[in-house]
Amino acid sequence: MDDPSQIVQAALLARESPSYFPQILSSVLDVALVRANNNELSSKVLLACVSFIHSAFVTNKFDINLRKSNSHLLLPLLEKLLINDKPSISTLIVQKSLEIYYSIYNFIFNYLINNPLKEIWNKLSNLNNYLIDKLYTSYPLNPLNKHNDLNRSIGCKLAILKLIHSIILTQLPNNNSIIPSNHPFLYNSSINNQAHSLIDFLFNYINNPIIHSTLIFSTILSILMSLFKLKSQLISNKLLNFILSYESQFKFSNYFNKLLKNILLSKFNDRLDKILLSLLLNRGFIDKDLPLKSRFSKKLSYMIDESIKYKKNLLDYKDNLKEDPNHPIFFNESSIPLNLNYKSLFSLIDPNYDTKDDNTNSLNVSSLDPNLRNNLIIESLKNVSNDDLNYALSIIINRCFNYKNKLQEENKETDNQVNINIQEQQQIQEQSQIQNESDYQQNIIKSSLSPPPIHESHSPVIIHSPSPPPQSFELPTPSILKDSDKELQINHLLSSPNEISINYIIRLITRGININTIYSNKLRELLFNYFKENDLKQNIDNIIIWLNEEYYSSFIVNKTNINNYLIYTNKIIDSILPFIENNDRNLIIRLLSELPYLNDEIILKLKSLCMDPLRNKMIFQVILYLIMFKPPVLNSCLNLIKLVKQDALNVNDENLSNQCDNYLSKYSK
Amino acid sequence: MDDRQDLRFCTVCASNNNRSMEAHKVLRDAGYTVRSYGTGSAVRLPGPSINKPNVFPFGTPYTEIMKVLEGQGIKVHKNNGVLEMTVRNMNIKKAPERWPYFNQPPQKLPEDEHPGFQNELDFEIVITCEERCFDNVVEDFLARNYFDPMEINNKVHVFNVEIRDDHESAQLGGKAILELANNLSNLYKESIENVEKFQIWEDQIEDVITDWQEKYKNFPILYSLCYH
Repeated sequence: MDDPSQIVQAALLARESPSYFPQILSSVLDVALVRANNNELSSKVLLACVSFIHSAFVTNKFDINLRKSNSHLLLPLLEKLLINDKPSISTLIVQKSLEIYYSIYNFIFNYLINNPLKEIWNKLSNLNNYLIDKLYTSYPLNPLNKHNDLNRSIGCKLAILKLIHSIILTQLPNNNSIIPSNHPFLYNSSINNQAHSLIDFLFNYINNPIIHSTLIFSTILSILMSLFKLKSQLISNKLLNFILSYESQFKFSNYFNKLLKNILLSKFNDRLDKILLSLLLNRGFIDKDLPLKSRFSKKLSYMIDESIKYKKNLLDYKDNLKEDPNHPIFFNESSIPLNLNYKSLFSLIDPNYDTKDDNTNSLNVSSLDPNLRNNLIIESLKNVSNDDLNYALSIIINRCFNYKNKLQEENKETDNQVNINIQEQQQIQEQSQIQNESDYQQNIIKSSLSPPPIHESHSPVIIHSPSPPPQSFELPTPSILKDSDKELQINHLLSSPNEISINYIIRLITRGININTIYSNKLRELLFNYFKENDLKQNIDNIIIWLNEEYYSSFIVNKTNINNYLIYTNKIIDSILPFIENNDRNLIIRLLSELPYLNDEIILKLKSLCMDPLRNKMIFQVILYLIMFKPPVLNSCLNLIKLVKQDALNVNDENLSNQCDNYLSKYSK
Repeated sequence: MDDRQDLRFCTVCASNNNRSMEAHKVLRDAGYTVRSYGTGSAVRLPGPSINKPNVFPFGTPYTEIMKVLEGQGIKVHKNNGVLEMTVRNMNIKKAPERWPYFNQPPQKLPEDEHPGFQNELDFEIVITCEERCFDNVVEDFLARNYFDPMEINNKVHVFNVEIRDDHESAQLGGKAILELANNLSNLYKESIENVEKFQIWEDQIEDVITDWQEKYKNFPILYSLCYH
């Protein structure tokens, strides 16, 4: 069943001959699970499988007994598709899976009453908790910002709300004795408590300070109306108070929405509130409570007046809109890059934003004239506040780290998949051997509908090659920019540095903005000062990383006249040598051995330590290490020793002179 | 609902004669599957004088209505456009139908008169043409949620496009409704055709509404999602 049309045919067969339904369902589940396990989460075959299950269990096209008895079989697939943080999954598949889940929830729950399988109950509970937590996120989409995420992936949110409705109805039945008192893990009290807390959750959710999309708002009201009938005692006070107190002008509007959209959302939600007020008043729901009825009448009159007030000019309503004081700063604040490219790593604007008049989103910054780009960056940095810039950098750094972690995870998964495939191959080979030895005939229908074997038994064992790693980031082609007169205000970058920001700054200096000497030199100086003021020895790791990056940039990529590597290596050595103690032998060995290039000038800086009677023993060990393990600096070391010997003779230091002779006789060949 | 290849529409006004029927015609001519209702208690049409409107029960065939109008003098009804409107309606369906209010006797044509629909509420989009009708429709759905609480599986997107109840406004409103329907339909089809697309159409409905309202400022819009 590699073709979606085969799934459609299977669905037709199941509808025409319901007796085949269990077999067809089993085969479709197998196919879907294979696709899900192979991370083909947006494939048309998987969608066809999920659509078949959706039509069978959601749209009531099959007998209820068939649905009841087979519901629990869907759980592994639903778990695989729903507990999934992979952004590659199709939103439509997730939404359909959610709709299937809420449609079968009561079937599985009732199945558990008669078949106390703790494992299934645990899966059910995990799935419920996971999904309900996702209501405040953009699940399954990547996040953008807290305002927009509330109203993204709406279809999935509506399905999760319906799931809550389903859980409440299932776990809070009118007849409390539905679960036998001797059930090993389902207890009426805890099951009811869960449902009660979900009712509170629904009211908390609808009372969110940021205005809801009308789709979500109206769905919650429909659910509450249903619960109002079925669980009147639990709902009525809360619902009536909510309807009385709701007014969209008390809600924060979405910071990134168009003004008109915010106005329309407020208008739509208020209209729904007005309709509910009218319904409850006119259909006698609150006739017995006269004070309440009077409050409802007053509120209704007020809402009618308000709607008339803004009927002539809708935009007058804008004065009622409230801005969230803690609104998001950037549209795309996601710590996960949407795609694996530089643009996604650095872009903080709406990824879907492109209008006739504004093509910022599709603008290729690297294609701009260097001077223009230069001025653009300087102006932007001048205008942005320190806090915003720091926040933006922290988002980008998090994206880098997420990307790195994702790569590591994918590598692990690939390794695991290879192992699983080897095991599967072994099992298939074993099974084929057994089958060849017996006269077993597979059921014809089953065989025609079952997924194709991963490998033919007579074929040689083929291990699925690991999927290629995601495309690596490519460095942009460096180009030389003219110096700008404008000074860059970047001191705040190192105002509160940490491991992440230092790494980021090192990359920025050597790979990011190295094409502009004003920015990069300013940052180099700041970075050097930072190391100097914050104990060079403690920062030796970062210093080595930095100087290696500088070497790469100065010697390999740019080959400029000004060699930043040598400038800052000299500065670092000059700054660190006066503070080297005898117990820092390993540290200085490490520094000198891991620096990619040392010249005479750098090696000669060790002379002062050689002349120091307290530290010369340690530094000679360092020189010995360089002689032994760093052949390119052999001559420089011997020159150094010769100079030290000359100075030793001048000051009549016989011991030092002998030590130099010893080294020279041994290695100067 | 997501398995359907396109959306189905229902247009609604007070009498199922002028605005909803014009929108019905426009949408039908554009190739959409569409039906229409009126939410009032009866079909009210202009009569020989202002204080003598013509009142017909829902279900009265348009041919019958035509006969009554002709009996009252063609000149009067030709001037106000009612005659032309009724001729148009006769070419669309047999009789005006009342919105199928929950627990009220149906005043509608048999279902086989509406190919493409399996029952009276078998559509995804309702477009009303007057706030009062929008309120009636949404209130009916909310009442269904209360009185039939287990049946909240089917989604219906309800819109109101406010149109004055005269022949000319109905024609202008019909064009605006067609554009709204086209935008919604394109969004829906794009969503089901591209499985890989990570945003589905419901995420963008409010943007479509906003863009439409920016263009048609003279037709104030309302929106709600309902269930039955």
